[in-house]
Amino acid sequence: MNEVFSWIYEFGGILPFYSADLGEHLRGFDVTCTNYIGSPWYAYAGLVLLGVTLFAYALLYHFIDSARFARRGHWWFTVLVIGVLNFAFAFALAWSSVHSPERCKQLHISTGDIVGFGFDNALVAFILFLAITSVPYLRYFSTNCKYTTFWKP
Amino acid sequence: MARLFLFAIGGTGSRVLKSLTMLLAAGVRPQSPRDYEIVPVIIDPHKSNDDLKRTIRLMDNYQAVVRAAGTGNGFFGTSLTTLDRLSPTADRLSGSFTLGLQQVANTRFSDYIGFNQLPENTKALADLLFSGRSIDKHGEPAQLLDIEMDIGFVGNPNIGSVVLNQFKDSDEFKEIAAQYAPDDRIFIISSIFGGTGAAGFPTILKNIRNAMSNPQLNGRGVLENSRIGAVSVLPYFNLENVPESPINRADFIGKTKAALYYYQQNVNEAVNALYYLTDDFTGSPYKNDPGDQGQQNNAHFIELAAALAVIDFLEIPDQALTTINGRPEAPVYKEFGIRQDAARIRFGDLEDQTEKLIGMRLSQFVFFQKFLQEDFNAALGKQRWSLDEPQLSRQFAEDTFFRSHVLEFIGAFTAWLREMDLNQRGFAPFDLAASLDALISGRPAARRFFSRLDGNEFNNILSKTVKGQTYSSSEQKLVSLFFHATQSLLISNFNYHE
Repeated sequence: MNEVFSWIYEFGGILPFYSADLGEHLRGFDVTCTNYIGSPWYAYAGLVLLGVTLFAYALLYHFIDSARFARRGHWWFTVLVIGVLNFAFAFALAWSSVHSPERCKQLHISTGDIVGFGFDNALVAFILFLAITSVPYLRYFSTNCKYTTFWKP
Repeated sequence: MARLFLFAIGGTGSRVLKSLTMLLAAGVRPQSPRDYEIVPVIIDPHKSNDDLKRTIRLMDNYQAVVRAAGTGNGFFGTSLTTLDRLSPTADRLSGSFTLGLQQVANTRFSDYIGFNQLPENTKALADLLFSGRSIDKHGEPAQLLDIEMDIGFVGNPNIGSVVLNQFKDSDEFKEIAAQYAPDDRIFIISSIFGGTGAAGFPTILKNIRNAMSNPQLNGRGVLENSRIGAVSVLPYFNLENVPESPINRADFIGKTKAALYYYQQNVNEAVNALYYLTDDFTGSPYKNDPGDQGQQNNAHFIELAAALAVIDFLEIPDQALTTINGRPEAPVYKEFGIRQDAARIRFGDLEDQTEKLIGMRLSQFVFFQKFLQEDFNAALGKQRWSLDEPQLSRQFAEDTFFRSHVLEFIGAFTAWLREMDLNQRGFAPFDLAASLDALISGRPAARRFFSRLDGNEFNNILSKTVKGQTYSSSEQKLVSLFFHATQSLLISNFNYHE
């Protein structure tokens, strides 16, 4: 799971928003700097991202499911909230783990890397929400948001 | 489908027909095992009567809605049709809801009866029968024999009975006789205190019951034994006292008594179900317009009650309306009452049966009109109910069906409610200016914890209603969807029961 999330966060290595050292740390590079047996931070961040995004989707499309909140403006507001939450969580997660004494000290990680990871997490959440809400089959079960996507109505 | 041939005579006839059209649009229908198609025939020589014109326009719009959306959708659930549509051979008829009275326009009554060509002794008799003064269509005093009949019979049933007797030779009557089937029924709406209605009702009734003696008619045996209902409206409004006018309220009572006496001898026993309606409430007077100024009166609750007589008549079982040799076996006579003598009637003032019949349906239509007027355009292309196929798009809202027929009908419905509200006695079951949750006077919406009944909640209900439904066209979707959504809204928010 950690590998899957690392691949997603690093976009298969094509589009890194942070240094390779932070990537190593998030993969769970251990305190002895020899193996990946430390905490799987990618998996933690990924699971929370999934949870937050799916919860927000369910909230907008199925729990609230209101004519009042069925416009594309509400979609963008929801995705903004998802992005902020995921950014904040990823930033806090990376910051606290990087500043923990139990990490490989040979990895050079800057605050810019941590901000980049937070942004990365928000971007992945955005893409996930976009993907979920672009599948008509899922939206079909919503009463009022059946047609709500990033571009309409 | 069985038919109801509905004769609406004079100004009151048109106004009652208007109320009936509103009720039918709202989905009020008789609790009868049989569906009826209604064939209105308006009999009024006063073609420029504004009430007549409003009613015809209203029925044209109703017909256009039904033609596009069909029946069976709740709202506009009963077909209204013109005589010419009943058979392919009826194309000689005009295609309008009115009976074409011959030689009435620009014709003096004396010319109509050929007064100058009459033998002297007959002329003297005619002079005696039609003596007196009235006003002409220009509002000038005139001898009764000299009045032109463009504005009706100006409260003179003696003239009306002569002119309206041409009904028996009319193409419309022949067509009705040819089309009349054993399951069909006839209903006649008239007032008793004026000229046209008081004369027209006995004349039409006589010609139907005596159909066997009219060799011009096909199917006259069936027509003679037809099931006939009628409502005769007694004085129900106050009138300005204008000394020079040929119409005054004081005459209403005398004319009514005279007509009732005549009806007792000649009419009552020939009708299967006869409804008498009146109201002695003295409210603000109507403008005294004998007809030369258009004669447009505000809608009145009594006209609504008279329209309910039509519904009631269609609910009477066939076996209670048996007629043999042109004589009903057991004629029934009915009146209409309300629970409380209120100056402004609300639903709670009506008897249970009346409230059950019209309360929910009229409320549904009021919610429909309120939404169309205030929230419809903003929701088009944005809410699920409008986006599900077939779409109710902005283009749909620009089309003739919606813009001309639906919105015009809705506008007339709103005006009708307002007029009844303003009239005295008033009918004011709705506060049209209020928000949705306070729209039904004296019956606020149930309290809600997390939301209020507003346009968004209405949209919610519409989108819930549209789920899983299929519609044959946008027009049918509009009518059916709003009927079922407003029904659901009233049940869940106003404690109505289906």
